[in-house]
Amino acid sequence: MHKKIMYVCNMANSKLYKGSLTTIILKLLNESEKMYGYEMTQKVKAITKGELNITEGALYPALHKLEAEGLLDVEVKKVDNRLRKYYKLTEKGNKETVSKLEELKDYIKTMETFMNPKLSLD
Amino acid sequence: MKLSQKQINQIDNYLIKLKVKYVDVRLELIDHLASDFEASNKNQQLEDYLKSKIDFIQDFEKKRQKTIHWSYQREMWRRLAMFFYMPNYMLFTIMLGFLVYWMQKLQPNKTSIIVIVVSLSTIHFWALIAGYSHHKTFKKLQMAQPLYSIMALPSLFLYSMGAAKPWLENQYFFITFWFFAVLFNIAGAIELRNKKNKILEYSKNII
Repeated sequence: MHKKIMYVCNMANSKLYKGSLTTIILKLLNESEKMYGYEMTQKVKAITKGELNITEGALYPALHKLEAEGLLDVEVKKVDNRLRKYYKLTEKGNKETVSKLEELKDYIKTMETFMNPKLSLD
Repeated sequence: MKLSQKQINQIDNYLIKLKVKYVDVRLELIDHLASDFEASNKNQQLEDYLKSKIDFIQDFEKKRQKTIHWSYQREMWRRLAMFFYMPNYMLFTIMLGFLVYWMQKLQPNKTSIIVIVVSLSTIHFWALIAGYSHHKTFKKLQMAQPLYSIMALPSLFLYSMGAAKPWLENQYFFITFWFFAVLFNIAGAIELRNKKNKILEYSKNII
């Protein structure tokens, strides 16, 4: 059974994903050299086949926070009659990505063990 | 379907109408709204689409302002902490400690107080000039608005001197006060200079 999970919505299960927004952004930027905000929302939607939908209201504050913390650097380029702000990882951001992904892997592993205790004992 | 220059200007004018005055905020909003509109339902009128995004637009500016302000404050604290663990900075901290102690021993309190006031005022005067030296550029950028607020906490030392006068007569309190006042102000001044240079560099591409 698939449910569409959205950020900043009233669905209870979205809370599980809220804490992972930073990790999702860092992972996306780790795989692409640079990305702009709207591109990130579309990429997440495409990768998860529409299961995960990052709203603009949640994405930009997270991006600005990461930029302010020095994890992201910005680059402005003229594209299609307008200026576009691209985000890319800084050196500090690269280190943080590795650490966040490790943290997430451990979390998933622990939850899997918790959900299937018999399986892990085997 | 890509938006024309006229439609981009329409988005920009709509943002200005909503009192989104900073260039760095409008730049990102224009691109996001244009990209979203280009990818969304083509039957919708641009104006109707923009009306549906009012809450997002107003939230965007407010949240960004808050994030920038607190990040500047955090950076100032981080810079201050460096004076206690980074070897290059620690050398300065030790020298300052000796200087403050030695001067307090040599000079009577009244002269020392004058030295404190002059030293702190000099840093503040420099910060004031640095904050307003590119006034025309800075007033267009949201990221430049909380720049001078970096010096808000360090300036408390200067402004609280009158109230702290009875305690300043105590030698140890006096030395501690002077020592931390100088460190806070220097940490603030370094952060202000770094942020100012970063903003000026960034502004070259957008203004």
